Amino acid sequence: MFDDKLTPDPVMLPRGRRACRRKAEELSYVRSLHREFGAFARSLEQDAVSETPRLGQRELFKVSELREQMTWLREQSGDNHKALLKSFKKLEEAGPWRDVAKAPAPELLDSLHQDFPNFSAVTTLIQQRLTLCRVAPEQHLQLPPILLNGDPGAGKTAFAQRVASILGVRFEKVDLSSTHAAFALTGLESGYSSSHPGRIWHSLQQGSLSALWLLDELDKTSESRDGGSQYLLSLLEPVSASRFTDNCTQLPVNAAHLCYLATSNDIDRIDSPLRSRFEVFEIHAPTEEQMCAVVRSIYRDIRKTETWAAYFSDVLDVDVIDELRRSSPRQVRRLLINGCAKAATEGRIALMPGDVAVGRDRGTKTTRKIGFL
Amino acid sequence: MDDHDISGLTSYDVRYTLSPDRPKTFKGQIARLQAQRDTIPTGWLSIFDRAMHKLRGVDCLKRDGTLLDEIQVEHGELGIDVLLDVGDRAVYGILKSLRRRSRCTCQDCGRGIGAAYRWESRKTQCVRCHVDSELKAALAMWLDDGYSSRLYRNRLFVGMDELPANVRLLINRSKIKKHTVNSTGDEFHYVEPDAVLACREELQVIRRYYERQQAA
Repeated sequence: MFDDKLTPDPVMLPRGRRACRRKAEELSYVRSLHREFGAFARSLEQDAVSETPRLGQRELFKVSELREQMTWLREQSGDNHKALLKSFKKLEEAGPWRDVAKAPAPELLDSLHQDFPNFSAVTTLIQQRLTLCRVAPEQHLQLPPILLNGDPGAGKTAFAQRVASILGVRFEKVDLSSTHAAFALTGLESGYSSSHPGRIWHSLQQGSLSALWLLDELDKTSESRDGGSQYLLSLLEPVSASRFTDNCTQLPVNAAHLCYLATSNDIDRIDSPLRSRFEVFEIHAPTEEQMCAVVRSIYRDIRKTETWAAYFSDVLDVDVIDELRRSSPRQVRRLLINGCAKAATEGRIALMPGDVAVGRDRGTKTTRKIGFL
Repeated sequence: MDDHDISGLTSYDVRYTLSPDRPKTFKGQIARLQAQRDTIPTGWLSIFDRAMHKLRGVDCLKRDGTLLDEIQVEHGELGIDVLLDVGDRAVYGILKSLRRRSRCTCQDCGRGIGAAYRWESRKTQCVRCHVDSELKAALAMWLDDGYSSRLYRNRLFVGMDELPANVRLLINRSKIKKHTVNSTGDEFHYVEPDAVLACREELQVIRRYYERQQAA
């Protein structure tokens, strides 16, 4: 801001014939004043930095590191550098302190036992961890990375969404089977013209440091070309996550308060270093008995999310539930929506078993494999 | 009117002399000047007080015929004219000394100065006060949102000599342009207003510096 290394100003220096004591004195005072302004500007910056955080807040980044990056960026040309500098300025204005979500009461998750009976073990673990978090005075939400391994269509995504809504944190989903998942998460280096910060960076720019990330298809990550899942290792380790560096911004930020819920279909295809960082749960498709509760839960969810669903009765007929109990949760949702469409066409507000019936071979097994096998 | 011989006075002097507000005694006139003390710049208060002290020291009863004018603060000087002199040079000498001392005393801080800025700014200021006041005026021009400030900022160019030295130091050197007058060969340095506005952040820091100083 106020450059310390002042070079003589050719305009203000008096030429030899005009030189006088007064001008020299003025010049000396002007320079001393300039230095004072510089010191004052620095003290203002220090004041801004030393702003005390509110209770429960955590530091997202170090201000000194941000300033270093900004100094470097000012010397660079290119639109992406300018855009980055702009976002850094916003970051500087917002300050380094961010809120961390508080752990809610474990009892709030009780409904999950009923709606997602096949996830009961996961729900119990989350409840136990919430109890642990609430022992501390700040009650910061901190969950271990959880891996849900099981066949497709068991309701893993729906479960993660419900957990996020109960915990009161942002829900972010990333499909790791995509080739560019690494770039999407951790950003693309600023050397490229199309460089951009990753989704982790953007997620941390919000008011809170907490978010629930659903890492979908974790077992497909190892097949991708770009170093497999190596970039995830640092994110999943709390110590290294607290100094997570985006490839584009190169500014270490605190990503230690993000929670991860991963899904996979085949756990053997996940590298052991990555697998060891997760609490692994085998998720089986719900049994026919469990499916009754699941069907009701899905119907409730449809009534909540779909605008047209208010037209239909709020209770599902027992025969309809019985018809659906042998389908997978994913199929149930589709069948229920199709059934509603059929009922609306016939001018009914209640679903009939015939609306949701599908022509298929009904096995005698109480649990069965689902998905693309 | 009364005891004064008004021959040789200007019409203004006569009006003043005839004014019913005019104190009749010399002591009363000193008290009247003392009441106008608030109109004097802060830096000159000490030399004014000293002059008043000296005036009180002379034999007031013998000088009731002497007429003193209002306090004048103009052209970088502090002066009190003697309208009607009864012949005693003591009062005249004190007031002359006051005027002479005001020429080499900073009217803002009261510091005795060698090289004053009287003829440039019509103010007698030391280097420090001169630089500070120029800078404060420039801050008002470049940061305030008044009509005159906007008009000032909307010019095509700003001469470098118009800007205070501290603002000049902030301007990016590459933005300074030079024009040479063909007939005389004189060089004229100038910048576009945007170059000064680019230093807005720094100017705001300077303003905050002065505000904090004033508050302290």
